[in-house]
Amino acid sequence: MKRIFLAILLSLGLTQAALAADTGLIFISLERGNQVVVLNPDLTVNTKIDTSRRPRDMHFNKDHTLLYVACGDDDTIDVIDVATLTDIDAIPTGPSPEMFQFSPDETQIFVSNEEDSVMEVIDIATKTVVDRVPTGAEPEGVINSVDGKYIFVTSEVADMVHVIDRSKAAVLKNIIVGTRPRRFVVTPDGAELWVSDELSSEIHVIDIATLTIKDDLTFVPPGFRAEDVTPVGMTITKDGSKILITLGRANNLAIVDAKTRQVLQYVLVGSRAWDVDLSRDEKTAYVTNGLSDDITIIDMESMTPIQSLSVGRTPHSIRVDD
Amino acid sequence: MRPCHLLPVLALLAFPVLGDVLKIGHLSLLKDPRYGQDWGYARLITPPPVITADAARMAVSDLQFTTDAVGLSVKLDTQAVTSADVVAAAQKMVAAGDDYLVLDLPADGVKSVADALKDQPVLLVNATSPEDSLRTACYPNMVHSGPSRRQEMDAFTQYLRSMNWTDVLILEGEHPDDAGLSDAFAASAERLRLSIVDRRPFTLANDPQNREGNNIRLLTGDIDYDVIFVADTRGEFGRFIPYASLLPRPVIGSIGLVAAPWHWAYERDGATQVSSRFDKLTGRKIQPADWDVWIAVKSIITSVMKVPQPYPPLVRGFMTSNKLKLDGSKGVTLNYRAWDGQLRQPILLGTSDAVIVVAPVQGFSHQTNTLDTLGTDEAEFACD
Repeated sequence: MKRIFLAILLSLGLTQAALAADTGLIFISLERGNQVVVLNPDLTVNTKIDTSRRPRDMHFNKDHTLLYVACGDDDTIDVIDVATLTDIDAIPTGPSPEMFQFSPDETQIFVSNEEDSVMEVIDIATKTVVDRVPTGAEPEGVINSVDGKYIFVTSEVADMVHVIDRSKAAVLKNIIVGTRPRRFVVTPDGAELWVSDELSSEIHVIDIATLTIKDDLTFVPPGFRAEDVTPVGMTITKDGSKILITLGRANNLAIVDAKTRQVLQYVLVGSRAWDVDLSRDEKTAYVTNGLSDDITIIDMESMTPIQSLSVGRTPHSIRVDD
Repeated sequence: MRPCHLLPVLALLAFPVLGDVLKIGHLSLLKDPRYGQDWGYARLITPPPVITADAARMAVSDLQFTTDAVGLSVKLDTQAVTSADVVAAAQKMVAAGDDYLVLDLPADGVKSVADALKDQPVLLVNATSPEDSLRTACYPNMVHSGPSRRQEMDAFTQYLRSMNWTDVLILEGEHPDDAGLSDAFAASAERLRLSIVDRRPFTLANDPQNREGNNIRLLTGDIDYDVIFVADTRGEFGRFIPYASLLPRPVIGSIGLVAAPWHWAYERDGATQVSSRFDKLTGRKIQPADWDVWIAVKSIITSVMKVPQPYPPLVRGFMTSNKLKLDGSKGVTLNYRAWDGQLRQPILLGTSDAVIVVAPVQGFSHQTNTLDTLGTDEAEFACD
């Protein structure tokens, strides 16, 4: 009897979880606020979820029932239940987790430990570290190749991209890029890896088949000097046609044609533009502005900013559940 | 026979290419008065002993992934000697193959090493002596990684301008370096048209016949001002000025709000990671001089990897071009100025436990590089 009851409870839970998808909620991690702010689709504040300290990178699981948040000062990846909007779990990591990715089958987390110079492989079910791959100092961006063979990790101090062979959990190749490489996007066809180099104001494009640099791009909005441009966050449309790049201190978002490498539009956003995400219909882009404590919402059709919104201390990452 | 023309050619042949060893020397004093722990008569509790060789080691280890990737092995040779042995030690290090010397020495030590080695194809990095006279000496084989006095003073005056604190009272100690510091501040103040309302010497004694010189209320009275600049390079009297002046005014300079290349409490631009790596490595808080040495070693290794031939004069040429894009975890790329070999860099203005502002202060612009609003600019610079 008890067991049946439990089964009913579980299935209820599952139904609820399934219903939680496509809420349209917007999640923003506040690096100094130790909270994830949740906005309703109409941009009113739904709730503020207390997390472990210094929440930064965030990712949904595939069915968007859970949101994982890397918390740098408590050395955990917190787990937020999207249906109840509560912090339900914390997966321990090495010191100062910053950016992370799930393995393609979602059984493992690949996380960069900024203060340990290691990329950890954590098994989600058992919450144990199964591998530690040493990297250059201050590892940051982590991303999978489309075929899942490689994990790419930047080292901000070593100025390189580590190509990690997933099957061996070992560095296969180091590719030297610009100064202070930060984040990645991989094109949906699996052919190109784009890397943002914060301090040398460059975007390096790496050919994944040959693991060599194929392009070196610079995007300088009118009225700025190259050294003002500190590119960090990037995202790509599902068809791979457009790449959105935040330009940091240049306070602009560059919307770039992925094929021609030409800028379609610079969009003025807030101070030190950091992370960027797109809504599922790709009609709206969201940018976090780390030094003005706000986000900017951009209409992708007209490529113009619609609204900026105060969210709290040092917004780091933004994810939309739709 | 003109050996001075032949020398570079011979040296080019003799110098190693990548795949070999890069030897970097680090020369410091056994007892550096600048890092003394018992300044003045009061046996102050000052920061832990500064041993900047720690910072040199951290730079080598920070870049090891990259040097390994290009097959460069970096050997660090650290020597600490008495001030009498500085020149002999430097010559010995160069003879032993250290092509790059990072100097953590007071100005007279830097000067004597530079004079002794000025015809050698080595690269000297003056890491910790701020004296502008070392910049105007224009040693052909030297660059300066720590900020010049003038860079630090310009950071102050930009901030005073932005706060509209335009009238400054200078209090100055008896050490010759104190006068040097006041001079540098006054020169910077002139550029930004601040007004020095008075410059008053402070003496460390209780002689009742010299009360105007040793009584803080008398010393800060009889005149109006917005801010007090204290020039006290030896830490003798400065700490008694805040909260003791006749008028309630902020104190800057050697105490109160202090200008420095680094602050352990700086938390933007990845600075926290540098400070906490240093903490972990040494068990002590990072000091500004540590950053000066760390960035010196980092700039040598970074540049050696980017030049076709690791020959020190070529490396210096690369460092002083815009091609060097050095990451000092201060938010912008750094490189060295062609005219005086000075590292362009932001300056932090901080109290004992917080960074109040980072110069260049917002609103100060420059026709080529905003960082050149700090320090002697090309047009006003002349070698001695």
